[in-house]
Amino acid sequence: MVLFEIKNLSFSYPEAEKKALDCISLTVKEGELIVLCGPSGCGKTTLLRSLKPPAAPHGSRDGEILYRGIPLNEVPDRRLAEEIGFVFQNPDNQIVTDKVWHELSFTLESLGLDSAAIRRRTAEMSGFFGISGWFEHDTADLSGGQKQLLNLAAAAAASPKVLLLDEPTAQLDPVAAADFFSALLRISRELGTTVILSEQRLEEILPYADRAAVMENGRIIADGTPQAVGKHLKESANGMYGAMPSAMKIYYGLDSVGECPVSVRDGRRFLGEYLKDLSNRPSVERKKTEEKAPAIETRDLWFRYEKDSPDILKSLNLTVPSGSFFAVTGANGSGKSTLLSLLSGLLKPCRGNIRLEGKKISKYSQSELYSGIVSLLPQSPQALFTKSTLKEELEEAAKARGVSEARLDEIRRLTDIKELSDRHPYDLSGGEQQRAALAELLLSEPRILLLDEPTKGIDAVYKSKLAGIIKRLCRNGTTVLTVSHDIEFCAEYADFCAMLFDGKIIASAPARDFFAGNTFYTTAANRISRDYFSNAVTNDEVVELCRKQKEN
Amino acid sequence: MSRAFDSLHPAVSFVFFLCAVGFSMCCMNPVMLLISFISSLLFLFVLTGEKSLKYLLFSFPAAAAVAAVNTAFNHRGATILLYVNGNPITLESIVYGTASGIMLMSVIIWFACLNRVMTSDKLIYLFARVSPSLSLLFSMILRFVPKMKRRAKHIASAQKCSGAAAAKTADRIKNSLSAVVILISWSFEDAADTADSMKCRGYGLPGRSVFYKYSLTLKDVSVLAAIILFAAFSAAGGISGAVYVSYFPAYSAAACGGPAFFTYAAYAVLLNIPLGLCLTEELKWCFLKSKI
Repeated sequence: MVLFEIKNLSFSYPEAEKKALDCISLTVKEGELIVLCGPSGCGKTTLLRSLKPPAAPHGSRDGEILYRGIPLNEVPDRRLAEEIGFVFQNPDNQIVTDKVWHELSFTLESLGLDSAAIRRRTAEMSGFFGISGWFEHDTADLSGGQKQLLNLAAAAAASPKVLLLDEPTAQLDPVAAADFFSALLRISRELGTTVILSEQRLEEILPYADRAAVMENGRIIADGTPQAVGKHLKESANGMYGAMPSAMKIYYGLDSVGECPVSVRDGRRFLGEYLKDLSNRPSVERKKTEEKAPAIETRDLWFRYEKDSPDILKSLNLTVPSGSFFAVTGANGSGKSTLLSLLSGLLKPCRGNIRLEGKKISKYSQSELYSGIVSLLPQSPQALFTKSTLKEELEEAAKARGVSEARLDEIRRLTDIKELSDRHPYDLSGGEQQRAALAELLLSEPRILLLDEPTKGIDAVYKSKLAGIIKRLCRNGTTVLTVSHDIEFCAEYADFCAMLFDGKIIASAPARDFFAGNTFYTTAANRISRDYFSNAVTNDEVVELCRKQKEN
Repeated sequence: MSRAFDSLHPAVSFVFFLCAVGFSMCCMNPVMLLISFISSLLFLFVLTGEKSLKYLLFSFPAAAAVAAVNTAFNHRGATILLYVNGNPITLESIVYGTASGIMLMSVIIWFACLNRVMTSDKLIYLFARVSPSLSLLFSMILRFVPKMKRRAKHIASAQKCSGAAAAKTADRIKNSLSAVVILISWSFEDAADTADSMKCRGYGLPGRSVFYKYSLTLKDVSVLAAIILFAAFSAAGGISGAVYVSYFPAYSAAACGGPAFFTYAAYAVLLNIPLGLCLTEELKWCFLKSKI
């Protein structure tokens, strides 16, 4: 049965020249799992919100949306609340109340159910989602992953017919994202709920999708099975092809024929067939990196927040070569953010010392340290913006730091934000905000730049843009250290990689050697090719090795 | 150990604290003051363990301070001890001050107990009975405050590291002002999201209900009945004048007859109901354990 029928839907925001949605036609059948993908600003969010009138943006709308044969705007509010659930991107902002149980019961309270019915339903939900252990907790004390799981459970509490999710895992780390997806898949598989979700992490979710729809500039440019969509993107050389799963990219990289693999498992099977008569395990040859003086050096660093609290860092030793792009990975709560706070001088170590540019951090004065030595890009760049346009913001900051107009222009060019000057910092997309914040930090010309999860909630296009900026900075001698969950990003672009576990640096090596040595914590390309090649980490390396094998 | 009282219905706990605080404030009878003071301390000990000693240590100087202030400014009373700067210092005002000090301390300690027992869940539940929308607002505020605190910290460290740190006081004030501006505009952004989330989940539909996590059990009813019964006895004693005392002009008390003792006993039972519940539970456990 058809659930949603969208016919020639167009939408534009007030005072915007461009249409946010342009003649969208889409049919959603009951029980389907549809993934919407596309670069940020392509209209995914607008489309999803249009399907839920209470969240729909204001503006001029054309065309028609039918929900089970009835025009959507004629569906009574009560039915909308009951049958269409919505999960937003930010896990924090959509939580309304202070207790987990209260949050779970919110929709049911709105619908006017009595206490006995609500008690039963919340009990069922917390059993289904594994929330029972923290049912009585304060919502403020939950981790990001738990918060988003709670939002999913709260949206599903009224047992909706369809769930709409707007990039629900953008703010989560890979482990939390995997948990979230498995809960979502259970809803889809076990309850038969229709799911429409927009997502950047296609590697994980695309193998399970019934359909994928790709959007660009407010239009749907491809719609069909993941394989069909991948084929279309490849053939039309679309930028979104870069966001497709590794297995697919390796398949097309080798110009293969036959069924296109989507998941890691299918990718392995495909590669096995392709390299049938392979005897040895060839490897990629990599250039040795030259030794450089360390920009950051820590010796036996110990840290805990309070006298009686557990140690966060335990005898941590880290050496970051000058002018390199260094990534520190590690699970949630392993102490990555604490390490950044220590390196930026916001916290003082309990024991051990930190040397920045060869000098002990305690020997720098506060103003010396933050004007020329080190800068920290926070996880939420909003924390930096005070003015109503980006132009004002940067000019003010430049004046305060005594930076010349010419240098400001140069930095604007470097971070690629020239066109954004007249926008309000809060209206920028995640990736744009990040670059704007980066520009503001670069005004103080730091020798060492620290980045906290810079790829959180950013699409593939912006990621490569960010990597380009970082590389340019490194070439000019700036040392960039990032903490990140984003394995693919680190493997592709970082020079060195280290893993933080149990308060120590467990392994530290040139990035590609580092990932080649890991088994779980590594790229999809490495997991696909591990049995055939000894150290291929990126898709391009796998493709290159395959080609070499065929030639021999 | 305190779970026996914690797990009661919030209304029962609330009525108890209402009685405890109310009686403690109204009764200036020295025996009843001591009963209230000791009961409150015992209960706090059950709830918090060693931490309650802090209150005990704090309460003596506090009571003495109240007594001293009262003595200095209250010159009523028949028994004049001495004159300071021409003002009489009377025995009655010293006694009355000490009594007020103890009264104040026991009320404070009862509030400390209340703070422990009446968690936000329970208060919100009680609120919801009176005004559902007010209770939701209260719950949202409790959600908002820790979030805002965390965010303020995040902004402060981000600003510090961005190189915006300034040497001059004027600049520093300007920087902290801009941090406040960020906090406010950021919170408004978030509030828009929260509003959307509420709308999406049907907030504003007519006939909203409230989910009550608590239900009244037989035990709750019997404890409530006991509280009301003993409170009635104590009140009757007070109204009938059996425990009447007056401090001015000279200290005088009603005869220490049967009615007075009966009132004291009822009052002591009333204030120690929670303690009794906890101890019974503890004994029950010991008994059960000994049988294994």
